[in-house]
Amino acid sequence: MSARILVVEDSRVMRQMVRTALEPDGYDLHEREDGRQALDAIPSVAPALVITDVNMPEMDGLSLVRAIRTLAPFRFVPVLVLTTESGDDMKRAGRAAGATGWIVKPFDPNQLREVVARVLRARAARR
Amino acid sequence: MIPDDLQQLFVEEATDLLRDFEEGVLELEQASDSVEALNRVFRAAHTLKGASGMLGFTDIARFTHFLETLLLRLRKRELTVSVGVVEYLLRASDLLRRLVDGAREGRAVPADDVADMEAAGRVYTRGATPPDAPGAAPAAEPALAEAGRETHYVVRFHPPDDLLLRGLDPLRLLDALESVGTLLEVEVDTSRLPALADMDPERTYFGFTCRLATARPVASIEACFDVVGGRDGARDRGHLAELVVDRGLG
Repeated sequence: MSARILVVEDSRVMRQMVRTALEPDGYDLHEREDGRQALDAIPSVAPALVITDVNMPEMDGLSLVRAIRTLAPFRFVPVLVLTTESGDDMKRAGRAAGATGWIVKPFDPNQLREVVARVLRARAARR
Repeated sequence: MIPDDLQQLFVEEATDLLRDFEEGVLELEQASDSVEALNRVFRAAHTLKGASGMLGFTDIARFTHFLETLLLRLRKRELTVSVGVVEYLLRASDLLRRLVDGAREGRAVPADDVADMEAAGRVYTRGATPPDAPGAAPAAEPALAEAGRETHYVVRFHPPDDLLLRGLDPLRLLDALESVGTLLEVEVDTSRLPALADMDPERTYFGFTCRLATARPVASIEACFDVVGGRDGARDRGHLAELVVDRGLG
């Protein structure tokens, strides 16, 4: 079964770019527009990986990461943060919230594919 | 070359975002202390920056980046929403609309128009630090690619498991790397994580794979790990981090 990935982005352009980058690798991609929608969807989608934007309406990406880390069955799900902010504060905040890693936008589609593959491999190895 | 459907998606989204931006500015004009209105304006500019940067519309990405700097000052209350600021943001919105129209029709807006608008706004951003260091240059950005003597490195770093017992924190080593360049990505390697029952809370099990962009020499990167020297510094350092010169983004 192909790995299920939940993509959380308010930008349609960005969601499409992520889809274009990852779809050829056969992932089962699910999309939500903000953190609140994503949090509601997680129990039914049961993603192997979450990729989230930071700046979104309703619930931002870092709040989403923190919320995921309190969800008993999903708290160890890797979360990659997709952000235009490459500053130290952002990274510290991401790390403190429990993000697995981050990818700076604009991203190189191949780089995204590699990171996703590596994170999913690392997860598989642990099981 | 951007596929037509993606370009159309961008124009649609940008049009929605510019409407949000303008409506937010008009709300601010009525209620200058409205946090909600300011967030709406900020988010519109921020999302537009992300999408335009992704598609290589660098003039839009750069100008929205500049606007973010201004809007951050409003957020931090270093700058107040004055008549002048509102008027400037509305003019900026008009320019963005022209830039988006240009993106749709494949014709460029004169660079001077953007430069002039930025210059006019600098009175509001003076002394401000930009919201973030410029991110990775998109592949289709020749100006940056040419100017950049920056090299991308992959640093694989699996600390010895007694690192904490030596009074060091692997996260501090990541901080050190951040001081050398821009960490584009950090991936945590959890493959050596033992079963919970076998875990010693005073030992480290994680490794890190970092992607670092820097114009500094390799020695500066290696210096980050010198701190781990200990009894056998040279061997330890080699053991600690593996440095791989990554391909550039071009």
